[in-house]
Amino acid sequence: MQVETAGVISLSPLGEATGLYHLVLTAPQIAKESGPGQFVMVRCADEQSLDPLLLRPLNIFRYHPAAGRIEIIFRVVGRGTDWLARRRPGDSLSLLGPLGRGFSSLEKYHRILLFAGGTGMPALFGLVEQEGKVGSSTEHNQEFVLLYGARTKEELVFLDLWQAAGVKVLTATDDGSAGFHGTVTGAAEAMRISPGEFDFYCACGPRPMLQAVQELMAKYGIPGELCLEEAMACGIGACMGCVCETVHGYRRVCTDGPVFPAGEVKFS
Amino acid sequence: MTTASSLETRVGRVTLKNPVLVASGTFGFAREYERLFPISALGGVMVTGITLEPRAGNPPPRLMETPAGLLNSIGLENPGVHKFIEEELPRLRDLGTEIIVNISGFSLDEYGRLAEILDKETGLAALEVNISCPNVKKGGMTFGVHPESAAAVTRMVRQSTSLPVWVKLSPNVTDIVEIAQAVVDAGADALTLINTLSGMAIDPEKRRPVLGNVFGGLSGPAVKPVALRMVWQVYQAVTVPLVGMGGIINYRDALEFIMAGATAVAIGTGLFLDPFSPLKVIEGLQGFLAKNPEETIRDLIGAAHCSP
Repeated sequence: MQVETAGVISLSPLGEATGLYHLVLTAPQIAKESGPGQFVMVRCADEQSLDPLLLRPLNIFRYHPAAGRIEIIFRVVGRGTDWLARRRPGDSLSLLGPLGRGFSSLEKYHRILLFAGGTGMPALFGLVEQEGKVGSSTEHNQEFVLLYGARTKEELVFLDLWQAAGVKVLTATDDGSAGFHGTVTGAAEAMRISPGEFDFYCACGPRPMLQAVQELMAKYGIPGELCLEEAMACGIGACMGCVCETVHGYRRVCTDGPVFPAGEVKFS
Repeated sequence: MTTASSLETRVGRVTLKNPVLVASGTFGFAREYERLFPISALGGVMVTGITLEPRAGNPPPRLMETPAGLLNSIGLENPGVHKFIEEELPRLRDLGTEIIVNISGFSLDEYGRLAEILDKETGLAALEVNISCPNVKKGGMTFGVHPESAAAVTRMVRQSTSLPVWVKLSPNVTDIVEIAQAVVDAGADALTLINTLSGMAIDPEKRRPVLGNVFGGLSGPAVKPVALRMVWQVYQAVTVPLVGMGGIINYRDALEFIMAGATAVAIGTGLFLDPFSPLKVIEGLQGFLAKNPEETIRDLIGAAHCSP
């Protein structure tokens, strides 16, 4: 974990009017230390500006230690991300990271189900693409199935990248414009998963989705991990501001998570 | 020539190598920030508020960003004094800076017992008595908004420890000077001010308050003018040293507090916009003093009060 000044290599909007952006940065130190499910805090204001005040936690989509780069996908949801969407190549950004307890090693699992909802998708990509280990999924005899949900077809991004990584991709949209018409859990039920078909799952997305995934997978008896998204102040475990309720009491999303074992987080 | 000693300041019996502290509740027990910079560079650490028993804190959401500010309703989540002494204090003692422990009670007796328990520990510079937390329903701020109860807590802590007693004042009062005088008369060695300003936010879509606790405490640059005014007023009314805080982001903010009458300052929310902000403030103060080789930081305390 460190503060690193990152350089913007590229920033491109994704799809038509989705509010989604793809950001590529030089950040050699953070790229070197990152793991799947970790995030960075990004300052989203001009140097002398006090507004917005707080750094924004953003999932790391891809990290390339050799090239010293990281990639981020974010959605414009407020003033901070709006500022970020107006950067240009050559601009500098102040980053703090990599942060958080990411996903556990999947080495001992063979058939893994991934649930992605909206901007939760990027947090999962590191699981199938780890620098220097390209093709690791076949070497470990691992099979990944991604259930990727969004509001509409335009918001389903980088499907080709997932497919190129050898992942079977199933999509779901709220409006039925692509894939299953409904939620990722609806799509999972429609798959008629048989006992033993999957031995682990990983999920990242909005809380209602994570809650539904956790409940469904518990019914099937499949263990897994959930990656939460939460507003944060310090991002490093000091302020106790980003807690979620778990079976062990309140836990910090920034450092005890953002990835929690399934069954620990209490959503209601 | 500016030397390290030109930044040295004294809060009563406590000598600080520089006037820049980090505010309670924003720095945990220094475990996290220790990974980013040497804590020994700081004038001191005011550790997260400790209570007699462990506290789970308030239900989330606990944070809401506001224009140039932050609302929080953490609710004093902490492991309790015994676990603090066992698991955190040994490491804190070795950080090479002054350790000030912030204590909160829910009765007079609890404040007394906390002070007694911590009095037996070595390596503490002072106790900061929190009579002003806006985020707990019982105790907390209710002690800090009446001169009589504020004085009673101060007296209780004063009788229970030989450590310096710093009392943290609430801005959520009609007349902060009245409270300041009452706690000084009751034996406070120093005053720290301000705690957060009570506030709230509502989500128009959900038609409900944003924070799980409904009310929270406002901090950050948005509160700085209020904090500064209160330091100014209290400086004119009491003779004990003041530790000023409330929205300090850079060295110029720190200078404003010092010139209003603060002997030292603390940075809290500023850490969240830049974890290195305390170090940058120290550097900035050094640079400012370098322009006037005859002057030390101590010469600037209350400087704005002198008529030209």
